[in-house]
Amino acid sequence: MSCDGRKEQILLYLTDGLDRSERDALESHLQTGCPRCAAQHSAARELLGWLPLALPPEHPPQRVKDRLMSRVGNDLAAATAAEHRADGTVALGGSGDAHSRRADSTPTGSLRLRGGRQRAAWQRLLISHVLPPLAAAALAIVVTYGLMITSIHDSQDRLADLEDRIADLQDNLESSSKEMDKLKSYHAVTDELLTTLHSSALRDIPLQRINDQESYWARLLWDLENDRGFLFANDMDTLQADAMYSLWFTPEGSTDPIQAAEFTFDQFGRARFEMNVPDRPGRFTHARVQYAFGGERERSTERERDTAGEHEPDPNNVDEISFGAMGAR
Amino acid sequence: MVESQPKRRSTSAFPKNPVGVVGPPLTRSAAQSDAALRRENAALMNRIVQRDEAALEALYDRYSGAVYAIARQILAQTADAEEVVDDTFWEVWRKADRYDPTRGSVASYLLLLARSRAIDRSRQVRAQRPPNGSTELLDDRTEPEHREKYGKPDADLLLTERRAMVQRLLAELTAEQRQAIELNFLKGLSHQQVAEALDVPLGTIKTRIRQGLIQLFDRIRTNDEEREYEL
Repeated sequence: MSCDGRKEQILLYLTDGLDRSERDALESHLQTGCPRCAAQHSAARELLGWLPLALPPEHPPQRVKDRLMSRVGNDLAAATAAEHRADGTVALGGSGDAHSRRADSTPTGSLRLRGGRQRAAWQRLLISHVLPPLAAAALAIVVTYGLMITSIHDSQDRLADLEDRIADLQDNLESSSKEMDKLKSYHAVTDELLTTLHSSALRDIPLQRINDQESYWARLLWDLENDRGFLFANDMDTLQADAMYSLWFTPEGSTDPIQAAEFTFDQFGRARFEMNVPDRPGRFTHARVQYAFGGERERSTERERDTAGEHEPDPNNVDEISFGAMGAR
Repeated sequence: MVESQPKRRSTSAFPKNPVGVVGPPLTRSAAQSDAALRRENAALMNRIVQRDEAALEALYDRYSGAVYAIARQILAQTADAEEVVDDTFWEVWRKADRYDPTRGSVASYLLLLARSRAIDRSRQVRAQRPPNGSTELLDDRTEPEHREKYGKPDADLLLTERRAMVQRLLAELTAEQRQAIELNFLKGLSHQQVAEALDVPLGTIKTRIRQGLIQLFDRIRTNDEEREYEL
């Protein structure tokens, strides 16, 4: 038979359509290496290989793929383990897979793996099974460290904020204490004032600013029974809480004033003091409150002295801040 | 003797309206796609030789549907068909270095291997049902629920085009030729078994198969001026 007629024979051969003698004869011919028949054989195989594609695809269950890939993984692992043996000759347990149970499964035996394929398998195993966990661990460490540093910085910032808040609270507490002290003082003075107001020998002496500023006034309450005086002034813008003032009386028939008391005003424009009038006048013609010393007035005076040199301002200049009362009660 | 019967519409269980069957000949773009598929498969095979399991997985994803389909045509039990799929790709993994590209493409190698494994399996388990004369290939497997569960379109467009071409080529055969080829090659029945199933002389079956395959062979290897595709 010429090669021209073998095309049909090859097709039948590939579909088991030849009897024994025909099959043997064709196989013998193919074994001679006839290029034309070999090409026809390849083409026919290719055609037949395509035919199953005519069937609608049916995808097997996922477990089939999982089982296959598991076998492949075990095979790779077995190959890697074998590569580590000293002599390079390995005995592979067949497929390396416990699932294999076919009689025609991959034969067992000893295989000598080539170095190149050993290295390639080892490298793949390294890449697929070793490096990813290491990379994941390294990444986790870096991330954790970064988080720790960030947390430390946040803690430090919060600590600084807390310290600032504590300082503010302390300042507020101090201010509140001062306010509380003032209130206590106010109430104490108020209590004393109430006592004085109940005195049976109380004198009420209105005072006016010497320079006739009617908006500024003072009021003197004199408890003759207890020799206690209360002075109220509304001019705290001018009056100075840390300055000393004095109270003077001019008895009737005399030209020399008598100092009755020295005192300071509180922030509310109140002064309380003990009256020191040994010879209680029956009548007096003048009562005067005037600046004595201290306060900003003195400080400014000192500054002026420092700047002015020899000139010394008169500390007795009381015009601006003195109160006076004409006449007596 | 050539059966000069007019071509008529298929009465087999091949899809009545498969993709691309009724229409003009494949264009050059389809041939180019076919070449691209061959190149991709060849590259995958080379990687499998290098023990790249990802390449095997890619080949499995592409052809497991076809392998399973041919296995289920030949084997009655789905468990046996699953074993064939496993064994086929396992052998590809283990013996990839023995694949000879001069003897055929990766696809034909894989599907012929699957068919061979399925026939071996059927002989072992003797679970194949005797042919009952039905010309329906997917008799019990066309049930809607089964097809819905397992029947999925190809995820690979290149494979879809190849599948469409094959279906079109088969559709151009006579019904008798196609039926005989289906039962013999896709069902795994011997020529004698096909003859018995169809109650037709053995010689007639051989003639039908031979002429059908020759037509397919020539159609593929056509040297027409406008070459449609080539192996």
